[in-house]
Amino acid sequence: MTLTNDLSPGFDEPVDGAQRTFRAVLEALSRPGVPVPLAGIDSAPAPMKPTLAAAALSLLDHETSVYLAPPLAIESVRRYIAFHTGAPIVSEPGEADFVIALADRDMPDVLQLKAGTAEYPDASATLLLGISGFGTGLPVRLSGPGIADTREFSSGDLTDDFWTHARKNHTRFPLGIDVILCGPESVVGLPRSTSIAV
Amino acid sequence: MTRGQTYNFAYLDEQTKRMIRRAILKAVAIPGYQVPFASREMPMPYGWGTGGVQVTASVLGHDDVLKVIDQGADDTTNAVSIRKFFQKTAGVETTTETANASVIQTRHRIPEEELRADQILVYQVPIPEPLRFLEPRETETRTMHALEEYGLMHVKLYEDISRHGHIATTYAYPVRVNARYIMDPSPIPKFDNPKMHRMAALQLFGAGREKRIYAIPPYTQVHSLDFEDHPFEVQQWDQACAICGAEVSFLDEIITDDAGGRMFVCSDTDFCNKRSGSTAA
Amino acid sequence: MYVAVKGGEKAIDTAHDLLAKERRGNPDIPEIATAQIAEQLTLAVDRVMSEGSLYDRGLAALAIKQARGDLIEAIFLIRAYRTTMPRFGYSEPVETSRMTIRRRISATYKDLPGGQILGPTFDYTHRLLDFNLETEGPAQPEIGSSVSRPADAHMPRVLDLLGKEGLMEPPDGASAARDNGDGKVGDLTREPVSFPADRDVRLQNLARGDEGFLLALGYSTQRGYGRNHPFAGEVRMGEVRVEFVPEELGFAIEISEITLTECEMVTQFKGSKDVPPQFTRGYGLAFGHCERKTMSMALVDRALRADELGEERQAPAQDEEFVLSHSDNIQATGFVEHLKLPHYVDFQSELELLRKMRAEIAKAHVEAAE
Repeated sequence: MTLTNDLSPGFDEPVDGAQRTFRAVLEALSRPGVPVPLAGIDSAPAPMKPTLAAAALSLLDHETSVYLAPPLAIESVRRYIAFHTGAPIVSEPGEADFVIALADRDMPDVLQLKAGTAEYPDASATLLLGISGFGTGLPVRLSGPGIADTREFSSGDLTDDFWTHARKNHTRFPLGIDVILCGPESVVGLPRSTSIAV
Repeated sequence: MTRGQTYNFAYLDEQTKRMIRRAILKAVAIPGYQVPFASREMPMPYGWGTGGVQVTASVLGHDDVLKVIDQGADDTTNAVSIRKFFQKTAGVETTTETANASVIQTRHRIPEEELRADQILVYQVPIPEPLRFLEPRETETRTMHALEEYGLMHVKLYEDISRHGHIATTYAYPVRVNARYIMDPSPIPKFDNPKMHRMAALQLFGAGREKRIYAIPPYTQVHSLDFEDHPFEVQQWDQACAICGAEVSFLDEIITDDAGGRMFVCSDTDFCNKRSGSTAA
Repeated sequence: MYVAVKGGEKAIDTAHDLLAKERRGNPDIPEIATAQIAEQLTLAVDRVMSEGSLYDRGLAALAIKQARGDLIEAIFLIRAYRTTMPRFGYSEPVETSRMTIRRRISATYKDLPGGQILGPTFDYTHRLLDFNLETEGPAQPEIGSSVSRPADAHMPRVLDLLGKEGLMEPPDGASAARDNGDGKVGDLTREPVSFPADRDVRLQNLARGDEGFLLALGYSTQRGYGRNHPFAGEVRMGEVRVEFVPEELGFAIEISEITLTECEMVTQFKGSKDVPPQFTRGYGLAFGHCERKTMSMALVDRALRADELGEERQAPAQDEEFVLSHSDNIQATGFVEHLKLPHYVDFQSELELLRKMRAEIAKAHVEAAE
């Protein structure tokens, strides 16, 4: 594969960039609902968000399959992901290890994604979800591992449907998927272990 | 024939780190569940902390300050060796002071000083499967975890009580994480078990030879298995530390002569040094 | 007065210095060259390459020298080096039927196409110490030109001959047990083994497995612990070409030639009233000249096929999880030897409990006496 002129670059410093991004994502999943600052990759092709691109580049490679939801399933994004990660792109969301989507458009059904098995609940999908911001919209109350008591969280991009599905996702624990919300300058984790009350 | 080479930051190649990082994220999302991972062959023997080293290598960044302890001490030979490994391959700052560390790799102890939310504790694990001594087959234990069939473990602990009057497990004492998975806390003394409960720091566990990673997110419920008529209890000493006078720490027994002479000192060297005002090791 | 044990760093440095000194031995004796090891301790080199999973005679010789002849330590050095190597891809399968044969024997036929070729073997040596080797050793023997010539290029495998007659099961065995059904060959160095394992992963595990462990297990099958009535259908050793398809070329090119030993066991037949009976197979393959290893491997491979062939699993060699979990000598030596690391915190915990229990019993006795 050759790098053509119109292909945007990945991390400025691949080793450091991947490590910093991972630590932000780890922190986010360890403390659900808390926005963790993350410098994204600004040059990622639209409509990939910078933090979404960083999360993808830090976690994907040829060993992980990825599904790109409709607004992202365009040539520029496919080439970007293929070149920088080598991850095989699949056409069925239910087959993917990683699903990359935008919260405000054509989001795949959370409950249709790979949820693992009773013996191997880790063989489940991670949803990387681009989001326009936090702190707007109706708050939900989160509790569970990573949360000392309870924590309020809101995002105007996330619909009632999403929260209904997310609650169902939690009730099938230890099966389920894990969500990384990728905002403009931070990421928020919603692992399957988090209990959600409206 | 020159084959000298330079290794990647923190020794592991980026692909390996990504694989381990993905396993860590799943481990955090499913507290207490053992995630299989493609453990690599490290330049130190299995049993010397290859799992912990791989987890630390995948987590560590330039801004981190690393502390490594074995038996609670910074200056035990294997702790020294692992600390040197990361100084050499990652060039990170190291410390012996618990409060100054952002990442602490440990074998067999949890520091006495309370850990904070901005710290990560990485445990070296020899046998990650808490049910292994009851049932050696992975195929069986995996099903037991899947079905949440933990009766066998309670039977074993109760047999101890009827035979010895006590639960005869004093280290690697099994815990239930977030009211779901039974987990092996690694061979820490049961004295340390209560520290795991709702700890502010993230706890990561790496078992290299057995190829498993698991985790306890911050503030997670960690319950040491027990019975109503035999509640969980920790070790106690009649003595205080002979160096710093602490009465709340785990004590090592030192044989001082061959006539039954012995003394007790803190196993956590940093804790002891701080209290006795001596300089860090 | 007790002094806290400090200076672990200095102790380690000193230990390393002492180790280097011991390795070198008496400086009046010339230092051994890695080329000498590679040329004269070839079977040690072969074992280190096989169980180290890395075909490089020079590196294996270096590892043996550095490990002071401890082959498990040498294998460890090779494994730890191998794990850092970038991977360009997988070679094409090697074709052992086109091996340039240096040794080939069959215990099942007196003669066969290509003939029996004894080659370099200890088999018929009398195990008498050769004191000539204490000094310079005897002069290189003259090898007649008829012997030094490579053996007949056409050297069909014995089991293929049986297969043509329908007497032998296909190479893949009874079913798609060969792979995960996706056509990809597994790699246990990249994915953790899960049980039940497929035959490809089992064979990889055995190929890397400890020779002594496999030898004992193979031996146990002969003594009735999972007996499968084996015949050494064929043992062959020689050179095969390794081919690789670079993505940018799209066709195979030869990248190397390596020495392999292959053993195919002919084992007890299987069949039913619908399927005519056929012999079954056990397979062994290793780098270099490793007959003991490949023969043991073939016996254990066959024993591990118990489920597939509808046999009851009773013996250790048939127990997949037991065999695969304990075959690796680097894992085994690490965990056994780690017992010498400090365990005094756990030991202290046991002491405390033991004293408490003894005190309680003593107190109970006193109370009973009162």
